Amino acid sequence: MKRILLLNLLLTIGLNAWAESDIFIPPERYAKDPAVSGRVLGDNCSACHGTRGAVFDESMPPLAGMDRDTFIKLMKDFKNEVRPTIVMNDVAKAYTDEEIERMADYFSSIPALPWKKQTLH
Amino acid sequence: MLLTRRDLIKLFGASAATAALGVSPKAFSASAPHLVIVGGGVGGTATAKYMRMLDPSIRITLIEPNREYVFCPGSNEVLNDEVTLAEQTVTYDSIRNRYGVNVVLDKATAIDYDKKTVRTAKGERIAYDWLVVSPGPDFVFDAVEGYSRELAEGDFPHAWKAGPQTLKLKKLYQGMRTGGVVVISAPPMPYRCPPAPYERASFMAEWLKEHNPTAKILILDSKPDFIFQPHYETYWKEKFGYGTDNAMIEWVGEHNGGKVVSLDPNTRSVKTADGETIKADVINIIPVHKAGKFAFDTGLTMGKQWVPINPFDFRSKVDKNVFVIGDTTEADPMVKTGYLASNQAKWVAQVILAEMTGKDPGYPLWTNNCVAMAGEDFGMTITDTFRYHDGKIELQETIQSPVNLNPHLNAERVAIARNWQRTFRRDIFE
Repeated sequence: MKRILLLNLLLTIGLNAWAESDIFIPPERYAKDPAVSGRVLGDNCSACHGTRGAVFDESMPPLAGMDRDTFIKLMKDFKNEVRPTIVMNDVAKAYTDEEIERMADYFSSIPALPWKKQTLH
Repeated sequence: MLLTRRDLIKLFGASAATAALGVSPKAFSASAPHLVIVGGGVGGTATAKYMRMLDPSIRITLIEPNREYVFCPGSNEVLNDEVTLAEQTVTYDSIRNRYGVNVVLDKATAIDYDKKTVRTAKGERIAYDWLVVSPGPDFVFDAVEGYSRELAEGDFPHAWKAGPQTLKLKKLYQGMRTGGVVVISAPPMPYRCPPAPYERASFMAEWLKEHNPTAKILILDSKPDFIFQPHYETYWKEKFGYGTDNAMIEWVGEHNGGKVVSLDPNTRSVKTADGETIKADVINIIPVHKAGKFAFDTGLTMGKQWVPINPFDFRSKVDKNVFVIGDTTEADPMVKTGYLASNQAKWVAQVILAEMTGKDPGYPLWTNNCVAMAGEDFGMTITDTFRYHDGKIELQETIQSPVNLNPHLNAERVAIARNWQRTFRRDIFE
């Protein structure tokens, strides 16, 4: 199993300094599973970017209210390692392009306001 | 008792009450469905908050015996004076006021699955439609012969739940004699926050290097290796002479006899699996973990060390109206972290909403994008993604930040780690 994963990894990425214990399965493996909604995907981002991506007073950029196309471009650039970062390349490559688009729909629908000023629903 | 709109107006005035409540005042009718949550840690509190964000009308009750919660992530830095325990402490004020959650200061003791009620230490019976159980882990003290809960609360703190024991451990190691020895016994997997024993050793070493430079830290490990090992060893070599005769930090893996099997509190010594006796000035045994006591008392563990769950929705295998999340579950291959507990909580809230409204819950995905530190100038990140696939939880990805000593990158990772500690805490409690 691990060897197959590693092979997948070498075929698809082929760059980066991987630790011996690193694992990466391309997201296409899950393409036939039911879709994960933009909200379920997006709520995974809150530990760094705040509830609903609405932290506006930290160095992590807010995602709430981000323009849909900007979000998609950024995430695809992270995913394809066009734009090098410390963390986001590894985060973005877990998602299919469709999942990135669903997250973009979710975050672009949220007002660009700090969480404190947002309504709950 | 539920905080009513009138209570809030009394407390804050009318406009503040509306703003604080954020939900319709007619929301909590007695006939509204009732979600009861056991445990006000990361998992339980995240469930309450994210459930309210999904539905304005559901009644939510959180049962937690403590008025305040000491946040564990970041608490190792209490040991080198970077943060105070007070800074790590949060209240349930927002959960109560903004999210309209009835926080009951009491200890849940039993579940009546047929009557769908939870009994508390004060003798209340609280009826639920859905119950979410998130008690956190408990410890197997006697896995190390001679160790006990009483010793942990005395001169041998484990300090593995941030609180008074964290302060006690700090006092002990900062007050030890010149050239004293600290023994940290690191547990076998699984346990909460896998890098934390090594982070703890690093922060202690940082303080000792300045105040007690001939002191030693000996990590006796019940594992043959550990997460971020190349990172920690690289940093320790650079800063603490790791691997030399003058090393401030020494690590002994399980394969080299690192497993601690007994403690003698009178001679302040531990014995390893190889029969070696090691005397120390401070002994910090991080115990073997198991599911929380409430999970054992209510039969949720089904005779096992951890709570078996349905991997799709974290429903208990004992009863379909009971969900179990966080460190107390057997959710392999997930690790035990607050980050995962919070993401399990959000997903369980979605599942409960779906059941309430008769809709499809959708499909899950959980990340564990965590941070750790080796010093105030060296941070690390890990990016984990878990999918539900073919009836199981599958680890799609786990990637650690690369090992290097580029001071710019490492300083930036520290900034990320600190940022994460703040935003994560706010995501759960604000």
